Amino acid sequence: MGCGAIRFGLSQGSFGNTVLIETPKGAMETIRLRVAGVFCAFLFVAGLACAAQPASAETKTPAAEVPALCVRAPALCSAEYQASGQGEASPVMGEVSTLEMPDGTVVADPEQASGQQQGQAGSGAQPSLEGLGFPKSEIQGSAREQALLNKRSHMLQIHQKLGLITAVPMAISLFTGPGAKGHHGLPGSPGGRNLHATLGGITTGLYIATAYYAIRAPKIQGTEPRGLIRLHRALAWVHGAGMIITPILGAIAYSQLSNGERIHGVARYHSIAAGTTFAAYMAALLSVSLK
Amino acid sequence: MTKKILAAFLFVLLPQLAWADSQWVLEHSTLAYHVSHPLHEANGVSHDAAKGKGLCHAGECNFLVAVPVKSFDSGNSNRDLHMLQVTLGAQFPLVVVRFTLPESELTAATVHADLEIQFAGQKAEYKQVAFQRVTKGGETEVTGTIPLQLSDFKIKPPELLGIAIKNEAPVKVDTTWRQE
Repeated sequence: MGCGAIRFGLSQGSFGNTVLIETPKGAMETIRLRVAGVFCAFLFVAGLACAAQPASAETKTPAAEVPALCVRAPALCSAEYQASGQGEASPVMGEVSTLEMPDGTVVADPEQASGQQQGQAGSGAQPSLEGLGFPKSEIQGSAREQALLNKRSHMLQIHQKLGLITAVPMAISLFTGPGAKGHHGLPGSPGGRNLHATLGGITTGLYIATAYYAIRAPKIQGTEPRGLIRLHRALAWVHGAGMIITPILGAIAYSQLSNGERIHGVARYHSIAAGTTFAAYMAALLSVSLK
Repeated sequence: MTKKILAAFLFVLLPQLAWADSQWVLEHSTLAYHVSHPLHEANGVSHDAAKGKGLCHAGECNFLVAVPVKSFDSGNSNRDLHMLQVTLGAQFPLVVVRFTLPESELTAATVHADLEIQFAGQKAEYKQVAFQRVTKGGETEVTGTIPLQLSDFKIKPPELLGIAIKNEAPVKVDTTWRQE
């Protein structure tokens, strides 16, 4: 029982009056009064419809509609409804926010709907969200876009963790480099070479995994890179190229040293490539860690 | 009979005629959140993206302000997208603030409002938040800081290098309202 029932009762009452006076006044007047009755009923319904704040179809809930109507026309609310203390609550049915479920369906926020009825007692006219003039696209949530953001963040968090882990063998590789090549251009011990080569291999593997999670993270349309993330990305081209060149040069150098040769040719640039790569990598790491 | 129809007509129309006494419209706004991390201090600013309205009736004014979550710009697109993710900004695109004030209080230099904030699919209340009010010409400037806490909205503080940001994320509010 609520305002809807009262409204129905009043409409019936209008027609009821015409029926009562039909007998004494004659058919013509009855028709005229019927038209007047219909007109009044139309005005009544149209007035209420105009008074209600605009609401999208998905935000209309029976629970919210009753108090909205009662606030606009308190006299129309039943005594039972007003006695419950809800008669002065939630004035605008359009204010019920929506929750988008994981399956994409949109439902009214039950928490807010109840809050409107119970938590705002004593309030009068209230502005509605729809009345603020936001485009519908800005008001309506998207579970799909949220899932995309979640996936992106998840992958970038893995990228961040792997990136930090990769820095460890990379730094150790740099420190073990001199032990691999020996002194004065002479081949060092095979143990030192092998340790350096193993660390280089681990670094390369971890680096590829790190890069994978950055490259494969979903791109969000309409987002232009801004801030230090641009530097982070630019540096990726430097250490990315370095991580291709350095292992190749390292393999050549390893082969030369294993054959008892001094490092020569392009392999001489292995340490320079490694140093540059490490510097670019650390700069990229710091660019997103420090402001 | 005509009187009855007229009475019914007035009965329906009168409550609607006594609808709103006055209303306020948000003209300009600058909202800025601040987050702290041992390695970072970051501010995200939303400029003129918020929309708001206040309706006064029977000595009481109800205000509603909403701002798109994605309108906050911290100067780093990666951070902004991550903020959007942790605050469920794609699923719940708006931060909605509601508060009710007695109409008489609107002329005070300091206004204390009980804010009801909907954010990240959650609702939280902040009691007696102080705002400073200055009237310039036909416009009223309202400034203040909302002591927002991430845990109030069940937002897990984002981490960088394994260290989470602080739970406190105060939001500075600078708004200009016009009475209609």
